[in-house]
Amino acid sequence: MNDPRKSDVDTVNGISYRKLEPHETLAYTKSETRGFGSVYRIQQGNLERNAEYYKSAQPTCAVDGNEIVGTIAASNLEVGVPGAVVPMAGVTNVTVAPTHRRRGILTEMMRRQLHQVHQRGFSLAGLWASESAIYGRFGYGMAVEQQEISIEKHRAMFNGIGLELVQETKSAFATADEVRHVGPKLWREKMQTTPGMVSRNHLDWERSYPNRADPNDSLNTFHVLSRDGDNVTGFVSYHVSDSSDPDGLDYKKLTVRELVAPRPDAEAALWRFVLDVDLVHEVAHGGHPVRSNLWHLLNDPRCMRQVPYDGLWLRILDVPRVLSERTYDICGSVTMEVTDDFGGWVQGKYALDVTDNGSAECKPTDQQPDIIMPIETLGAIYLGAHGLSTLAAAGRCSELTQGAVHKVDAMFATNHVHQVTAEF
Amino acid sequence: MQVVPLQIDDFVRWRNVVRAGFGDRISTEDSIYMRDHRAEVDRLLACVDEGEIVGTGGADSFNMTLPGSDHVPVAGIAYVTTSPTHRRRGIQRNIMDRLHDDARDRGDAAAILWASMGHLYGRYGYGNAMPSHNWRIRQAFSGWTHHPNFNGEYKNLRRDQAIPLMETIYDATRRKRPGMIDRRTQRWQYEVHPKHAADDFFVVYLESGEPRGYAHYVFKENPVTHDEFAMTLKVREAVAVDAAAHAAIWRWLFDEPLAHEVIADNRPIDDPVYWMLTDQRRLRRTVADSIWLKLLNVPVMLSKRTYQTSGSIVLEVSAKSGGPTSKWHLDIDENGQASCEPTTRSSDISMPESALSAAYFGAISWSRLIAIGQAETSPRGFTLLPRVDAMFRCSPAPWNPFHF
Repeated sequence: MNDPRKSDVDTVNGISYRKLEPHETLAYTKSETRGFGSVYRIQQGNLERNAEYYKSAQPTCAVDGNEIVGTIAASNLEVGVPGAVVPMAGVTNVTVAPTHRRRGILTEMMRRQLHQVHQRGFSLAGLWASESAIYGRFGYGMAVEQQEISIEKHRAMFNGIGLELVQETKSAFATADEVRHVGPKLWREKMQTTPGMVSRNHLDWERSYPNRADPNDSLNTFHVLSRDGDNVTGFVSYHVSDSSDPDGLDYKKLTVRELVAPRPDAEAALWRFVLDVDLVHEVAHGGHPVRSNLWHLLNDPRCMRQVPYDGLWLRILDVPRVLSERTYDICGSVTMEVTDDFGGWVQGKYALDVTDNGSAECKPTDQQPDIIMPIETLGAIYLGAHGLSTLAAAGRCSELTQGAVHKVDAMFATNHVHQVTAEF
Repeated sequence: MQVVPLQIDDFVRWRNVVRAGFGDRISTEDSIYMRDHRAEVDRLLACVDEGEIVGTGGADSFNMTLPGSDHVPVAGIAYVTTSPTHRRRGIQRNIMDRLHDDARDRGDAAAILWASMGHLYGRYGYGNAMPSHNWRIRQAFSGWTHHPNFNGEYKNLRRDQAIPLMETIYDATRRKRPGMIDRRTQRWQYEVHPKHAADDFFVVYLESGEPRGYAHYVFKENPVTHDEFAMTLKVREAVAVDAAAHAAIWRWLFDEPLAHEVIADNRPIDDPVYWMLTDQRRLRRTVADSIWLKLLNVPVMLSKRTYQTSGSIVLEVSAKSGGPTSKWHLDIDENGQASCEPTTRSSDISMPESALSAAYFGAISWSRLIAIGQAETSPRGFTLLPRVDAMFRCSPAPWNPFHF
């Protein structure tokens, strides 16, 4: 197998791999958009925005003759992990043209990209998968799930204690400009306690909350801030769609685009707000945490339909660094052998020692391992959302020292509510 | 109106009232079969108004497995209905209180139930303790990439042949899995009802002749495919003693030639099948509340389970808001073994019964309960929270496949 750390070969099987040139912005964007099943239409401002975005995300393209047949990029992002916020390469734009299937283009791009983001200083890469069958073979593990929820509004009373919780919070409508102004600070605060939550750069803030003058701003989107006295404690952005029920009568659905409030009482108050909007029959949210606090506030939990799905996939590029960057609730020591079938990036034996204060040290070791697992398994358990014992029962880990899997379960678990919050 | 113990001669009449409460009717023959194979008549109650049964309730006796594999006797509350003609007169409250008192007298440490509606039982101190997943997956997407190895054999059996083997597997499994309850020999004859024998399928997986896993399933016409041989396979129950047998059983179900899709209700939230599949997202899961739990004997429930880490904490529990409270000192040693004694020390965390029930198996952490106002903490308790959360976590997740 090729050493992924050497990427000096630029042409493989007649396809060349190289950095995107500035004049290729339109061709790249068209190719990438087609890869996800859409036709690209130039809209005012968005090509300029893409060009600026590509400066930091450093796309690589696969080129056949003059045609771009493969696209891939990685944003400079950060992600919340238990006890910290750490850098993460946000892998995106991953497409291969339907005309160029089965030539190893994806594999070659992934191989080069891991090398590239490692050189850029990242020890962690993350992505949203268009399909969940794709990225495991490249060492990505499914680290955080989230869920689609749908609530029957007329049944959505809070229990008595829940009602007391939301009483102090006031809410007020706001413009997109105001959200763009107060949002980044709230976002960053929320990331501190939300494993899996990914940072948002200024370009994405502008895209999500465009200037009033921007014709792409949907008139049907509403923004609401929650306040405690003079302090803004959170925001929700939603739109209301008109539809009809099977009998042709009005049926309005309120869709929460995003709801961000670092304090749980403000978060609950914003949910109470959207559940009380008049004329609405159903409230939906697509990026809801699997450990939903809202579910435990509802008097009748069955009014909320919850469909979990895979959110953030993580690929670890430096085991000692990422394992020592997070904190742990329980102290302990474990030795693990990590296998890496995709290029051998992180193959090796590592000793993890967690001290009484929850901080960790992780070093390469020669000791006998307690556990052997592939890197995608470590990516899946890294944020504490999934237990190693579950993955072991699926054949994704071997235990050499009895009790080691159970110990890792306890060490890696966290009481935080995981949420990815935004696609990137 | 009076709540009275049910007399056995009234059983068929009483059973009709119960079934009407759940929206159906039942034959006398079925009622008698139920009386003989399921009912503990001395645990059944009737509310009687001028000779007419207008309210019902009762309990089945079970043993429930706790984290660490110890067991406690529990009351499986069921049959709770009120006649539509007698609403809003406190009959349900009366019956529930009486059932809980009876259960305490018998030494039950907890009460569990499956709720017909989600809003009913929080008021009686029950917590949403064991969420589960309902599954739907198309056979075309059921391929897997990872699985533990298994190389035993399968047997497709008829009901009567299958029951003794399933009983063996179920009993070995339930003794280890937190949340599972026992199912006695006679009860098997009721749960795997003879009236389904013609339509139901039973597969048992064996290693070296020893039964290790089973599935009980049925085929239903699929409304989408319009193809009588592309059916929906509905799993009634699938239980296996270990990871290998679990994988073996699910491979069998996914590979059933007639199954266009497979559906299964009430799977554990940490089921490893999700991690075996090549295309994980295609296992469509929806979240359900399953067992609701009420602790009847706090010190027994807290001291008989084991914990993930050591620690010491004082919990203050109130049966109802503003009502009297009890305080318990929970002390966990290095091995995760607990003692739980009454105390007069100041409390670290105080909560209503329903919150303690929800947190008992780790379905929600103490930090989250406090964050959303369902429990309160002292300054000292607040600093202990990460530790207390870690103590109560439960691996594997609690699960109860027995829909009684």
